[in-house]
Amino acid sequence: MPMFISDAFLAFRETVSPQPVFALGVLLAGGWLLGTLAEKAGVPSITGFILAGMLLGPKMAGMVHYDLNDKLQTVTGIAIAVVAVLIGTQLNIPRLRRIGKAMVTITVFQLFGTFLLVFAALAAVGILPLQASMVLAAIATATSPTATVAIVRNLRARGDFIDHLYGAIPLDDAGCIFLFAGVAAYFSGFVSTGAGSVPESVVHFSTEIAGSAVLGIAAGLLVRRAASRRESSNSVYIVSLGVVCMMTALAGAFHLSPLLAGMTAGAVVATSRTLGRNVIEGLERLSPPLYAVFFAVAGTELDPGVFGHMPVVALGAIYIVARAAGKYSGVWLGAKVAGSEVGIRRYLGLAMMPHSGISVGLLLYVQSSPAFRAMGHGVTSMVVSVVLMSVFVNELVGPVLSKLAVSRGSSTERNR
Amino acid sequence: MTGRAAGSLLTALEAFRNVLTGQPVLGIGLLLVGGWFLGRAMSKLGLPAMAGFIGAGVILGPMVLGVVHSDLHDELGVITEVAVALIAVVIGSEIAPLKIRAMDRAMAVMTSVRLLATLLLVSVALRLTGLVSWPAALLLGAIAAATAPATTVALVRDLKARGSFIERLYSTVALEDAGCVLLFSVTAVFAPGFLLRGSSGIPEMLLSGLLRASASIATGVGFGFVISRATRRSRRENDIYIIGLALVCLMTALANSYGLSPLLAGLASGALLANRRRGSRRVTNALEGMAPPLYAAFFAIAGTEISFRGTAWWATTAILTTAVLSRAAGKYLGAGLGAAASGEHPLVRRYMGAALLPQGGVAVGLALFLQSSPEFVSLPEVTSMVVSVTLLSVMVNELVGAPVSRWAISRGSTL
Repeated sequence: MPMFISDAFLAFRETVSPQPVFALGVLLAGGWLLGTLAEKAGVPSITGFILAGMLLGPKMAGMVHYDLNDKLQTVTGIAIAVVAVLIGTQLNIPRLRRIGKAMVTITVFQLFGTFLLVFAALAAVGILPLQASMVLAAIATATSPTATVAIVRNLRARGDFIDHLYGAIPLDDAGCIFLFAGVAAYFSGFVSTGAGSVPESVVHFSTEIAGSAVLGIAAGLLVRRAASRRESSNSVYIVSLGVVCMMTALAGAFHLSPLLAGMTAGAVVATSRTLGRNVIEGLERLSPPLYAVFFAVAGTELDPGVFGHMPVVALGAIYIVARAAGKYSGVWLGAKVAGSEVGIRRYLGLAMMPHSGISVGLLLYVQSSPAFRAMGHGVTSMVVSVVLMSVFVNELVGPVLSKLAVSRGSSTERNR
Repeated sequence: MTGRAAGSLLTALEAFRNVLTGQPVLGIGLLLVGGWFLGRAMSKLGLPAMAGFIGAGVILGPMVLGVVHSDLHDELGVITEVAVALIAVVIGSEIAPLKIRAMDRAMAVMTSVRLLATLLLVSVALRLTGLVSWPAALLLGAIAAATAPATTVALVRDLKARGSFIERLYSTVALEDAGCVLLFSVTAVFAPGFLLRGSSGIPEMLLSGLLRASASIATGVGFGFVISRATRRSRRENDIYIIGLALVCLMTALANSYGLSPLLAGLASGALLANRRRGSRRVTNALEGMAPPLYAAFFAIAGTEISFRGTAWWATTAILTTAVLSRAAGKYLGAGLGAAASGEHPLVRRYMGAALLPQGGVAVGLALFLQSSPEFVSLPEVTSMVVSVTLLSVMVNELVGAPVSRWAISRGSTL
């Protein structure tokens, strides 16, 4: 009898799972179910979405076919851009100017703190060559803002803490790209001894940042041009979604940062207040299912198999702990030096733990560089597994910490 | 020299285009933005924005610029499937027995006479041209019955017309679209069997069609129950969005996998949702709120699909002219006949048919539905014929039909 049932299940899976609509439906339904349960348990619903994706994904239940990966990635790209635009519309230039100096200080401390701590910890263990430790340390500085932003919007939090958080996101992204540029340059000089590689790689990453900003400005101006004040909310919704899609695709085609481009576009749109409100209203209608699918898709990529190999697990644990310590203490120190509020000093670091999008992008970049491949397969596969393990842990734990940080950080402020 | 420069510029442009066409997301974005700009230009000319989206699809698609891939449909098939499912649920929610009961029998008689007259006239006329096969002709006939509620409402508002003619017009439009979808679903269930009949006889074919139709309706009713149960307790809009969309997607996927009609299932679940007592309106409202870009993308994708490969231009023109003229005749004669049979006022008899000429999104949705349904994948000639003829005749009916309908409404509303 159980034999019969499992056969029937397999046949059902075979028939239904290659359909993209089914993947969409099952991820939404599973995400909704686990998300609701998670909220009842006091954990953010995002963790439920991610868990649902992991359980349903090709590595476990197989209800989502692995052939669909590319198609589902389009959803991910759009979701990141929508989130970026939403953050961008919240960036208030005068307020940012006021907190700008503190933000830069905090970010510098946070990035270098994380980089140095992770590097020191990995170097002290000494399983990996120094260069590989350095690459890992650079990747460790990346933070993925999506989960945190979703939580902020869900809690409808606002105030100084949120301003700092939103200000930290683009700085962290840009700073991380620069840091990585430096490491890649140093590193390629190290391995290939080719002269002139340092300025070349810095130029490469600077164009990436500048290009993203230009793309974002163009997209923002297009939305402004198209959606004047008289347009109905439906047409603002259609146009802004269309522009977001175009922007995402162009950023992908020319290797730009969709996050920086989207935030710039959002900021340009929000210079007109009514338009900004209309765009937010339109995009937010789409965002509940979009977020659910986004996090569930992220979950389908998590592979519990990374825990199978002992040295990797040990290294991964060191990496995760050192990264968390670096982020937290870096923010704490930076905030102390800049003289920021207690709430920011105590909680902002906690909200910076999620670790996915950009780190995976950097990982792909690393994998494709010849200098990295020169280190040998054993080392490269270990680096990749360590990052994937950290993504796994931080995807599940990060949102919980972010929720704690956002609610505590904002309430400290209110009680003041 | 300049020739060579121009040539290399062209090659460069083509290379750039090839980089871009690899990106389905860019395709959606271009279709949405381009369609919106064209749509705005159209509405300045007094035409429906939908024509703009279809037009953008034609221009950006393989027929003119080729910026958007011809096999984009494979990549974006999900959008079409989800859009059709949503349209079906939303239309289904209009079939409320309460509404139908409140309407007098005369209305029902008039509507059915008109539906059948259009179906018969259009499919027989198309078949008589000798260029269209029976299944395609029948499907096109069923689609021809569709009207354009949005255009009608806009015209009436614009004319500030009121009175019993308008009341009849409104209830008849809603009823007519529901009837049209029903007619089409039934035709679509039977058509592939008709073509791929092989050795089995007509009774077997009818039986399997009947089985599939009732299984589809049962699936839809089941999902409708689940949707209304799942959303009954949730207070937050977010949950309704997520779970509503999830179940609609699952229903479509299941129907497609087991050879059922997602359209009938969607209709049934929408009707069930609309007829449960509490809170079910919220689900269809939420789904409708999310839908505008989905519909827009869907019309634009439809535009990229227009092609008459292998059909000469004169044949295309002949088919299109026949489709448009026989539809107009069917509407006019059917309306006259139905009104006479139920003893309506002469003004209704004379002008109702003309007022119903515009044809809109429902027709496009039905045509595209064929493309996303697995049974029709093996019948590409039928599908491409139905899609192309429907899209072009929808454009013509909107362009020509809207002014005619405006005239008929202003005359009829003197009642």
